[in-house]
Amino acid sequence: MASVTQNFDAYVNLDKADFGGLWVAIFKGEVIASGEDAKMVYKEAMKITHNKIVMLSKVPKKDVIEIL
Amino acid sequence: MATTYFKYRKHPQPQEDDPYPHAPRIPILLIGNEARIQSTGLLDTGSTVTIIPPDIADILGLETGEKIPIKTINGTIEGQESEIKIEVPLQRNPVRVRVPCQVVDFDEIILGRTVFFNPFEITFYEQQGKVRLKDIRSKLNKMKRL
Repeated sequence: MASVTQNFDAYVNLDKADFGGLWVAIFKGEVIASGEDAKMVYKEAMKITHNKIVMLSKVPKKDVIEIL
Repeated sequence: MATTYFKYRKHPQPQEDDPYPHAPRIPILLIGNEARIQSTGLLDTGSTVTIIPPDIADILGLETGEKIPIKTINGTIEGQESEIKIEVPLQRNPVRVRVPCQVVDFDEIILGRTVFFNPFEITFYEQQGKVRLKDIRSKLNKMKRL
């Protein structure tokens, strides 16, 4: 499952200024789709990759303190 | 025993352009009835349960039960009981855990203690901005046999 690590590395290095607050789909270390609706982002990613496994995750907003 | 470190911050300390660095998220593979998705999960020692957002549950095709109240830091919210298989990509062997979870209107996956934490020894290195997961299943099995 090498691509999980590759996609995760891309995720932790994403610029919050560009993607903060959005769902992103990452494939082979590249963001291939993003938006506010997780299902739409996933659908677009499936279309682009022809149903390959992608990373789907939300990027925290910049300047927001996370108390969980 | 496989041990893997996951870097969870872009910067180990707050920076001028990023005053609130990342929390301890790890890569995971979610396995549902209808799909498999890679995602990130927040290791939350303060949470008893694992939380899955409804959109993710829908994509995976998770079956959900009745709505039940869940007490949180923000008050009481509603969740639906479910179950999910989560795989953690440790360096030598991935560890797959079948975890009871709650589907809750939240925007990220929270990895709570119940069941999910059992196969691991988890160490947080805050100054270095990383977390270590060690697979201790064989150790646990040896202890059971004694």
